[in-house]
Amino acid sequence: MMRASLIRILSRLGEAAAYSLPGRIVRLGVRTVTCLFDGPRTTVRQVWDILVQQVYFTGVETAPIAMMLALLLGGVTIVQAATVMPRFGSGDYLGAVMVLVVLRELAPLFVAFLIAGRSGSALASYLGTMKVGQEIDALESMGIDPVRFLVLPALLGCTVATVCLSLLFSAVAILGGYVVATLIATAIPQFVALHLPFGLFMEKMAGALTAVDAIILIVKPMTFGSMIALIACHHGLSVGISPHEVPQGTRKAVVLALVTVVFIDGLFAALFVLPQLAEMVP
Amino acid sequence: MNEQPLLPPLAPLPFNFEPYTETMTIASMRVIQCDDGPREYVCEARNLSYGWHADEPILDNVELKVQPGAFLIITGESGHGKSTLLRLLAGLEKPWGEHQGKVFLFGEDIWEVRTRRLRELRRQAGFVFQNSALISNMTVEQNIAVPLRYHTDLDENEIREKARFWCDRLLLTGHENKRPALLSLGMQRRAAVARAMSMEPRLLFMDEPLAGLDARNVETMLSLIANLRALQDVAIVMVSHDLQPAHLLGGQVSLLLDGRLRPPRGLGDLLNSVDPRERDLVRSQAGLKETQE
Repeated sequence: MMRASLIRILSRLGEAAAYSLPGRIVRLGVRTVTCLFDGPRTTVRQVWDILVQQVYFTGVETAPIAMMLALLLGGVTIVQAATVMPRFGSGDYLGAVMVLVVLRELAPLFVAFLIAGRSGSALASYLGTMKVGQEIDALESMGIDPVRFLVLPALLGCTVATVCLSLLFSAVAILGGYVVATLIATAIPQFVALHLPFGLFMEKMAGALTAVDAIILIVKPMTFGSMIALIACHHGLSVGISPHEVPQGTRKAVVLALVTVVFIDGLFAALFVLPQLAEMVP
Repeated sequence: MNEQPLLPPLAPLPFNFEPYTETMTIASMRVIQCDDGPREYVCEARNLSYGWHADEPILDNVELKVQPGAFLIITGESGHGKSTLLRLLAGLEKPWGEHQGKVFLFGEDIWEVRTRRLRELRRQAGFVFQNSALISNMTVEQNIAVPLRYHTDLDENEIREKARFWCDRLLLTGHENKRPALLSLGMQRRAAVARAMSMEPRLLFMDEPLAGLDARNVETMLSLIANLRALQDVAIVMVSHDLQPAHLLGGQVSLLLDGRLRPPRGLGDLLNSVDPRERDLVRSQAGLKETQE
C-alpha cells in the first residue's frame, strides 16, 4: 500500500517535472537529438541547407561585431590587469590573466549574450511568426517534422556557431590585449614590464593554459549555444494563434536564455574551478 | 520517388465552363452507404466530435466518407467548425476530453498509427490553407520544392523541373523567384496549391480557396481545380462559403449545421431541399434570394 502510494507520488512528480518549463525544454532537446539519428535519409539535404543558413546567420554575420567587442574587451582586461600587476612585479602574469579572464569566462559568456540577443530573439520570433502564419501546420500537413526541419538545424547551427565565435572571440581578445599591453608599456614607463615579445606572450599564455581550460573553451560554448537554441525554439513553437504572442515569446526566450547562460556558467565554475581552488588551499 | 510516373503534359485550362450538368457529377463525390471497410476511402471520419467544452460540441458525431477522385464541398455558417473539421481530417487537430471519434486516411486510423507513419500518410494528402501558409523566407519555387527536397531522392535539376512544371500549371510562370509577400492573394493561393500538389497527392484538402479573391481569380482558381481533377484524379475535400465550385465543377455538397454534417448531395437537390434551413443556407451561400425560386 505504502509502495503503491509512493510510486503514485513519484509518477505525479515526474509528470509535473516533465510538463514544467525546464522539463518541456529538455523534452524538446531529447526529441531534437533523437531526430538526428532517426529521420528519413532524404531529409538530410533540406536539413543541411537550413543548418548552413543558421551557421551563416548566427556565426558569420555576428563575427564582425563579436570581433570588435573582443578587441575592446581584451584591451580593457589588460588595462584593468595593469593596475594590479605592478604589485606583482611584472607582466609575467599577462598570459594567466588572459586565460583566466578571457578564455574561461568572458569569451563564452559574451558570445552567448550576443547570440541570445541576436540569434535567440530572431529564432524565437521567426518560429513564432511561422506558428501564427500556420507555416508549422503547413509543414506538418506535408508530412514534414517541424522539429527535424527547423529545430534540429537551429540547434546544430547555433551550437557550431557559438563554439566558432567563442574561439574567434578569444583569439581576437588575446590579440587586443597584447596590443593594448604593448601600447601601455610604450606610453607609460612604469609599465614597461608589460611589454613582451609576441612569441613570449603566447608562450606564457600557453603555459597558463591547462587541459581544463581547453575543455571549457569548447564545452561551455557548446552548452550555451545549444541551450539558447532550444529555449528560443521552445518559446517560438509555444506561440499560440495570435500575433501579439510573438513578441511576448521572443522576450521570454531572450530573458530565459540569458538567465540560463549565467546559471550554466555558475555550474561550470562549480564543476571545474572550485576543485582547483580546493587544491590550492593548504 | 524516382519510380513515380511522370506527370501528364499540361492540358489547356478549361476557362469556358459548362454549367453544372448531370454528366459532370459522374466523377464527383459518391458515398457508399454500405460498410465495405475503411480501405475503400481515401478519407473517413467516424463519430467525430470536437469542442472546447464537453456540453458544447462544435462538431457532433460527424460521419464522412470520401472516395478516390471524389469532390466534396463542406459548407455552413461562419464559426461553425468547417475549418476545424478539415484540420481534424488532416490530423492537424485531435479531439480531447469528452470528445472523440476516429479519422482514417487511406484506411489507417491517424490517431492510432505512429507519428512517422502519419507523416507518410500526409505525404499523400495535400492541404491548402486559407492564408496559403507559404514559408515566408522562401521563394515560390523553393516553397514548391520543400516537400520534394525533404521526401524524395530527386536531384536538384529534377526538383527544379518539377517545381517549374507546377508553377507553369498553376499560372505562376515568371513569379518563381518571388517571395510570398510580393505575390497577390490569388497567386499565393495558387502557389499553395502548387506546393500541395507537387507530391502528387491522392487527396487534397482546401480551406476556403476562393475566400477574398476577385471574380477573375475565382474563375482562374476554379479552372485550375477542374484541371487538377481531370489530370490527377485527386480527391478534393473543400471547405467553402462559395458554392460556385459545386455549380461549375459538379461535386457534392455537405452542409454543416448545428455541428452535424449532413449527407452529401448535389447542389440541385439542396436548392430544392424540403428542409427550409438547408434550402436557406444553400441559397444564401449560392447568392440566391428566396424570390428567385
